[in-house]
Amino acid sequence: MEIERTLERVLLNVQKPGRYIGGELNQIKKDWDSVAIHVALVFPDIYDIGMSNLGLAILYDILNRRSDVAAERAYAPWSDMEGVMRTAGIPLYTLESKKPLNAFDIVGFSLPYETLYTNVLNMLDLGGIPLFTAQRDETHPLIIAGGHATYNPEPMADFIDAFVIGEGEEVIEEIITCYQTWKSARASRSELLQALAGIWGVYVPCLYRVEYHTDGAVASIQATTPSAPLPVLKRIVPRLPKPVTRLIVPNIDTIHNRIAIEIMRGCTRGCRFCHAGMITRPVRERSVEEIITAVDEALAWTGFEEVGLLSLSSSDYTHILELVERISTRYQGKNLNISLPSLRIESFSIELMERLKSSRRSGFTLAPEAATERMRNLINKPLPTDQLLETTRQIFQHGWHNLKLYFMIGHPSETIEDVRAIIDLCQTIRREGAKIIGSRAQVTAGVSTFVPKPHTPFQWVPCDRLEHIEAKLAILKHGLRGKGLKLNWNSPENTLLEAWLSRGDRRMAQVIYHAWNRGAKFDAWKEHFRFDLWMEAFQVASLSPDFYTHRERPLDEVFPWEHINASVRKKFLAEDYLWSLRGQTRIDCRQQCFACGILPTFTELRRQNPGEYWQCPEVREKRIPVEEIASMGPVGR
Amino acid sequence: MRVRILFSKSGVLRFIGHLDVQRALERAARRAGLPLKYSQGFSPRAKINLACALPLGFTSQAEVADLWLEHPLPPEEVHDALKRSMPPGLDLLALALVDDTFPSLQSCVRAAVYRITFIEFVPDLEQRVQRIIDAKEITRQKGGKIYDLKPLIVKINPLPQENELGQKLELVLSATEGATGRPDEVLDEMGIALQNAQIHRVALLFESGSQPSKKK
Repeated sequence: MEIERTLERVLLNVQKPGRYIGGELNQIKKDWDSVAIHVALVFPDIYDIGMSNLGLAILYDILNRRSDVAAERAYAPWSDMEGVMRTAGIPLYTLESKKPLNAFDIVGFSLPYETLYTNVLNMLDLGGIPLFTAQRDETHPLIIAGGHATYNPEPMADFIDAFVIGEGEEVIEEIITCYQTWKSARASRSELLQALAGIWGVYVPCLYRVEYHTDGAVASIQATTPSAPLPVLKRIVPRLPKPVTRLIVPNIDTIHNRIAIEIMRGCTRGCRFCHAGMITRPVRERSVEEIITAVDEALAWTGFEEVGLLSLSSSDYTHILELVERISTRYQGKNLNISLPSLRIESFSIELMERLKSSRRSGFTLAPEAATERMRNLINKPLPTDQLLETTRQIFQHGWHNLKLYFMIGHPSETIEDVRAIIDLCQTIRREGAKIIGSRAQVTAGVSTFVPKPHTPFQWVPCDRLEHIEAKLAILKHGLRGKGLKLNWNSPENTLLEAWLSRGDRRMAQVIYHAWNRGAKFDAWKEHFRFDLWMEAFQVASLSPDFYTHRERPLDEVFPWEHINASVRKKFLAEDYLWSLRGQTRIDCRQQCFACGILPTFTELRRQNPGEYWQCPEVREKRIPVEEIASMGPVGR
Repeated sequence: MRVRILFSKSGVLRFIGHLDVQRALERAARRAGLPLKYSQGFSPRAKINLACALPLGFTSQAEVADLWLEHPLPPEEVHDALKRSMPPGLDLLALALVDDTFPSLQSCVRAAVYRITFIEFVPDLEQRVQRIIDAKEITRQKGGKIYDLKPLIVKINPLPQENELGQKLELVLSATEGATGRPDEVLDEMGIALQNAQIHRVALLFESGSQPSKKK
């Protein structure tokens, strides 16, 4: 009540006060005292971004279905609001009950990317919770985190009590049960952490010890208690649960202000730079029927004007044509915009987009990633340049004016010619487009910098030097000028920060802490990012930034994330890395299984979920001959 | 078919802007299954017109908007479906059919009536009001533009109150296109902090004949 009253007085002094009020349609607010466990689900960036996070929407739905749990939301206040809150003494609060973060039993952070880390510290601080896990006791909330970035949890290991590695749908309920048992037993915090470590997919960093070689590389990672598994295997759900359809409808505009329905999880393409493609295996698909029912339900709940059919590669969804045909027929004339991201570069994609054609026609986006066939083979996104050109021609012929092309620069094997080829390619495409539709043809190149992500075949590869990246960008900026051409690029310094944070070990926690202490926050925002603070923080922590990002790793190096098993084997990744050096590609693994490690790890789950639901080969029921059983002896195999 | 709706804006929704309200109405109509009319072109917009933007932070019981539907439906049916679908903080109070040839809502609004409730006691409220009434000219600057606030004030008078707390003020301000008075400007001129005032729009006054019917 106190927070609410103070808020009313200050909200008109900040931009977009709608971020801080809650009260949206489909928000769930329970009577605080009627539930046993209170969970705050936190996205460490502003409301406008956090509201579009599907992971938290799923957890919000699952948790609030339980009568014993209330799940509420919190987002980072923008700097103007943070100033107002600190001055007025308003702690970070949840939108539903306006309760401070430290009043919750469990605080769960979503960490989809690394440049959010300082915001986590800032939010803990604003919420009245000690930053370091070692400083917390039974009176403090349990701080958990999950999301793609946590596949290397180490840089945040000192701040987070327990990480969820992998998919959260089932494990979150087990965490609640475990917490409840602990709470009613009034046991110590260390007993809670021990118990949590016993749940498949949960990683409790304080139960592991890391030793380093004198050069700073990790020597070994050991569990300090038998209850802590080694390695920690990622959690997966064998079948994707029903999509969430009671989505909260924001009162203000947000980045993806729409219904999001995941049609498929995982990807079979095996692009070597792609973190998501490696960690989200196996591929599991939802049925067309389930997707359409979900869209219907979600429209009735929300009234949104747009549906995003999400996956890492829409074209690879087995029933994509059927889905698109049925959806376009069903919602014709309803002014529903349907977005289908991540389409392959082929004419079939145009056919798909053509069928979805609502009257809104923004741009067409393709991600060739590299402009030369050599580089595309190296990153395992093979595509003949002719096919790329033909596809773009057809896109203009079908009436699109704006073509967006995504590229990545900075792989160590890249030459200046590969970079120049981006200019040539864009110019050629723009010329061809102008022949077809005249001067309206617009080509936008979006260029990002390569980060060698953990758990990918490129995890051994160093980052390109900052000055090289800047030189390459200068070439692109010079070449991609003129009518109908546009260039967008990510800040190379910001990418470097992402690389440190995604590759770092436990000692990075000190760097993050000192950077935050010096004022670093909202590192993903151009207007807030302060590279100098990070350089200072490295100095204070006596660590070398280059050690993390500019060193080619020997194949047998122990990575800081060595104890996290994403179930794609290191041996497979190493082989794929060596293949990349030879320019050797792999085809889509739906056509041929390359034994990446998923099936041996999840044999039993696959056996229990047969058929085309998983896109891995079938695992047959084991038929063991009678004589073999006899020879197994009394204890069996 | 063109329908005119009267709705209220209350609670925390006072912190959302004009465009957000428009979007909220569009979504409410979509949830209600109403066949909203959309504009043509690259980014079709639902045809929804609000009479008069309500500044951020104000509540209202007098928001008026016109909505266009693709085909005629019984107004009672539209009213009931829409009423059920409004989001928390926006409530449908009335709905009426409007002839499509009627001039736009914005061009018919003449004035807005506000009720201002003060949270903390304002000393000399009567005198402050009198100063406004007596002023020949009130020169103000808003967004780099200098203007005279005085002719925009149609009426200003304190409302009866039971005790010291809960002082109230009634304010009628011009609200025509190009000549709209803002209550916060009047308060500022009176030397009263905006934080000390709850501003509620009680009514919109229209040119006679264009007022929305209170009957559904």
